[in-house]
Amino acid sequence: MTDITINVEHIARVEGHGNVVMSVRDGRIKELRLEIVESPRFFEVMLQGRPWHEVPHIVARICGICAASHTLASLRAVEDAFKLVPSPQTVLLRKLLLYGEFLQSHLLHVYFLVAPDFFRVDSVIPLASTHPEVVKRALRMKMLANELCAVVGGRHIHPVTPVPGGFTRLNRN
Amino acid sequence: MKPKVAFFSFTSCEGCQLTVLECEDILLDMLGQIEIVRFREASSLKRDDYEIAFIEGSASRPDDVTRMRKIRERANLVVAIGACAVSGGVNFMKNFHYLQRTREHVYGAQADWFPTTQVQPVEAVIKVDHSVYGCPMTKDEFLETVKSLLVGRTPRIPQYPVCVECKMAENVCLFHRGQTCLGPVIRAGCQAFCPGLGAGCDGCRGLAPDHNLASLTNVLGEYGMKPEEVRRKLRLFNGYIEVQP
Repeated sequence: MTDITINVEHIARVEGHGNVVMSVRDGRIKELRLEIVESPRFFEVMLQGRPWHEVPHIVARICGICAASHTLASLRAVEDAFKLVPSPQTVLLRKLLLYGEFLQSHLLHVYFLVAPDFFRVDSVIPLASTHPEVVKRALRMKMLANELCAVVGGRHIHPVTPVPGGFTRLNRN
Repeated sequence: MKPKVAFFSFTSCEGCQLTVLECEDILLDMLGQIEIVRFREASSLKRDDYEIAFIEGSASRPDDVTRMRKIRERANLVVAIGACAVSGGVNFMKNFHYLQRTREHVYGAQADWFPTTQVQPVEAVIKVDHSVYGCPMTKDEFLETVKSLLVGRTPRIPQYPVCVECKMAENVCLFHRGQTCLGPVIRAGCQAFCPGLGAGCDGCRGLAPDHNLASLTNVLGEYGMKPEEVRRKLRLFNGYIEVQP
């Protein structure tokens, strides 16, 4: 029977922070733990005493990868508080922003975070030499997804234009 | 020999690390010039022989200070990337609340499970050689910094306020539209991104050198903002200026 101890401090290539701890004694798992080592932020308290119109900008900073989702969720919360119903156009544009984020996040996940494991390399960097066409295509798709977010929200990481009730500016190009 | 580079993440949204990955069109060229030996969000490689350390995020956990000091010992150059690293960013708003009450408000009886300290920007813990401003940092300024470090010159970072870039972009001043904006006192380099989109500057890039905050406070007063509201607005990204040595 084998005794194994696995201690993965900081799992690489994930969105977020985690450790995995596993110990096997006499062929049985004695301990198996996923530790979430994300640094706590305390946004619930940071928001206290801030004006309502700042809320979407503050909570976007919960996560740079899914900032649009946090922005959109908080816009709904603020609008609910005011019993404000956004126009159908605003809802459609917000959905477009959300789908842009889905695309960019999934592309990041598949090509940058997961693919290196299948090819047994550390990161996407070596893949750029061994599979240049695939990596370049992935980068092009990611740029397109970012562009989609930017057209609606100004930018993908921490959108600027979405505000309670609509947008500060609509892209007319 | 390509310089060995590491990226580290502390208390933040990881959006500045993501900004590095979003340099899509120039990412492969950049990677050809440097050797990344540590970048947890993008690579499982974990080496400590780095020369340049890019640090994202603030110190806000008990062992963050020790980790930052270790990085300083190993790296020749430390670059703070993004508002959280440069000045504490939005994280710093936490410092204006009682720490224990904050912990209990969010985590209740489990407050002790989540150790946290007052928020400190990187420069409050270790010496910082260069700063890349903004929330998130801009690709252009990051690339300017990387290129400058590669050729051994000082990165060109604007010392004038956002208004300069806003005028150059021929935007109509938001004050003329009845809105307010921190652009007159905040460091440029964002190409007046938010004012250009009709949203007043929130000050994520920090105060410009030689700013005139007293004058802006007067102007904001004319637009109905009391001095304490101006201070509150500045705390969004710049609470650190109230305690900065």
